[in-house]
Amino acid sequence: MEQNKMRCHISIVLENAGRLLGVLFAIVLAQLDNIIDNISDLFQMEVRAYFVGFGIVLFLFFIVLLFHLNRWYKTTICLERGLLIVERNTLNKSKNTYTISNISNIDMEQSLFERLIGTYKIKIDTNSSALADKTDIKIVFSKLKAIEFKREIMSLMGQVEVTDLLEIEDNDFDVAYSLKSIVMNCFYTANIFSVLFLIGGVVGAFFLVRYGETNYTIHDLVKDALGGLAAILIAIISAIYTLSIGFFKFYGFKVRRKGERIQLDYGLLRKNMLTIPVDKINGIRVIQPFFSRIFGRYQVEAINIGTGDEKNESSSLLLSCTKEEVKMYMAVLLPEFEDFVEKPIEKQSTKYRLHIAFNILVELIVSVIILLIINYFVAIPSWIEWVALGSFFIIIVVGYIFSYYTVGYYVGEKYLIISRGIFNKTCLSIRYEKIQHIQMNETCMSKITGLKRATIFILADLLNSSMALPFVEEKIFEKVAKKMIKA
Amino acid sequence: MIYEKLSKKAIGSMYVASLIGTLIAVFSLTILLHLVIPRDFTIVRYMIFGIDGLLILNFIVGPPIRYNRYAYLINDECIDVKEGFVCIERHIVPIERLHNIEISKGPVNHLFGLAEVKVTTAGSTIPIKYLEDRQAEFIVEALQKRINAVALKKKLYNQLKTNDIREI
Repeated sequence: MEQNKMRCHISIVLENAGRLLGVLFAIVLAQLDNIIDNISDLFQMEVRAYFVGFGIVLFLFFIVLLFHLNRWYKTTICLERGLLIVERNTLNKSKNTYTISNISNIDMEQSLFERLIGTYKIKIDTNSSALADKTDIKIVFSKLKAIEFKREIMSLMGQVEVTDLLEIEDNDFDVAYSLKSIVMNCFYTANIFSVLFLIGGVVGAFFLVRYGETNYTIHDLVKDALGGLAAILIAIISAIYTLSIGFFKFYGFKVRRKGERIQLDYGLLRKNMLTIPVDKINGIRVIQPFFSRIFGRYQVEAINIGTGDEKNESSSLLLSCTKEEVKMYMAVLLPEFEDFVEKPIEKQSTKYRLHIAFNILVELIVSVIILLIINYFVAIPSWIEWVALGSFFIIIVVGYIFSYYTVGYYVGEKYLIISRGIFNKTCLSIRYEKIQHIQMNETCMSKITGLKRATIFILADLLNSSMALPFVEEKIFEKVAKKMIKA
Repeated sequence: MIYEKLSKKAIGSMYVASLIGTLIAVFSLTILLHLVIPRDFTIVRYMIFGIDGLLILNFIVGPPIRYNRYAYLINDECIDVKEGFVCIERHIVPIERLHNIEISKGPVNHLFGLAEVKVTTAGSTIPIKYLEDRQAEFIVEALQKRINAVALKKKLYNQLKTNDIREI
């Protein structure tokens, strides 16, 4: 058994210890003002103090390096009799045993650092709702060893061997996005609030410079408040980064269907190579952010345990594309869900307007009580109270109107479609056999309108494990329940 | 479909559990009222009195309504549970999706000879509450057999599927 034991690539020690450098860099950045202030005094101060500080940081880094080296040496990975065993013999001993047959996904990822070193991170997820929100096992190997390890696990999983993502050419993919499509995807998926924030910031800055204090020049600003300027720059850069994050994330996005698996390849700074078994796809999510809704674009994601549970990972099957493109590509990638974009979504019953009126009334009463309490402690001018109440009223009414026209459902033969959202729209298509449990809630208003809230539960991460249907009549709930039981 | 109702013991357990909860909540609110909130904050004091009143009302009328509304059905295909006080909930779980069955007993239920059966699927857990001990054990045993049968069926199906793929 000792011979079967493997260790991660030693570069993992530097990778993990390097995170400490990141933290130190963040601390330095946060103290930028003080550091700049002190630069001019540097030669008047005792230089020795700086060297002592530097020495402490270096010592700290060395200790962390030793800790990770010890952890690397004492962590072993072993494959035997259908089990994957990860054993750690450090001060906190642990031995995790995973059944190979219970593995949901096995993916490969490469960060910028790993690209330089030539290693790959293997990410393994199991079929467990308890561990659905994070990757269960992460192992770093050199390229060849990573491919060999992945193949071995897949053969133990009883999956038919297919060409690995590392060995296929770009034109072997069913769908590949050009640079222009990726840039356009950033635009279509931009968050409306980020765009408004950026526009507001730029317009505000322009008016401040144009019509503000005339004798206060940019030169004065730089001279007097270098730290403040840095903060403004960081804010602008972070706003632009938020808008362009999709570009780095989805750069070179390619996808193909091979047998019973979907293979994805994307990422500029962090390269992701994901494989999703088709039978582990619990549903499909079609997303239309605000701009996508205006321009008639759709993005498609798979709902699957394991894929998309990390910050930089996404289970996207298709980036922004038209309805016709979605139909065409899905016919190749997932014929199981081929025609879902064409299904007629049924809107909520007009009786639901009574629920809306009741909800608005309750929310207004609650906000009036809150205002009264605040007013009791702090005297607020009455016009501010009226403006706050009026704005709140307008926001919730607009929200409910948008939501009323977005929310809907379709009870099909093979799957259920749930449409939801306010400004953004998300359509979820779930196959009945993947629904684990259905729940119906009857509120006080249900007695008047006869409409009830149904919620379905599926195997997914915490955010997606329960999905609420719109308010429907009990017969719709019964219909979905029957289809779920028979599936 | 004929739903099973709870035994009379359940209402006693509901009253005791509700009494404990109400006493803890009213006691905490009273401490808050006397030690934290100043005497001239009349609105807040009235609100706390109102909450106390609602809690006592819930203790008096809650258990009988919950008892009358609670019903469950277990057949070959699914588990169906109805419960609630102000809002009514209904849960339907297909037997085929069950992963795990658990039987548990809190101190109050223990006092009344009652138990709770928790059925777990891949996506959620649903409790069947206030069951008599013998009935809970019977349900667990029956469901366990059914789960084993389903697991065996799935295993055979997967084996056949794998063999088919290998032959291809």
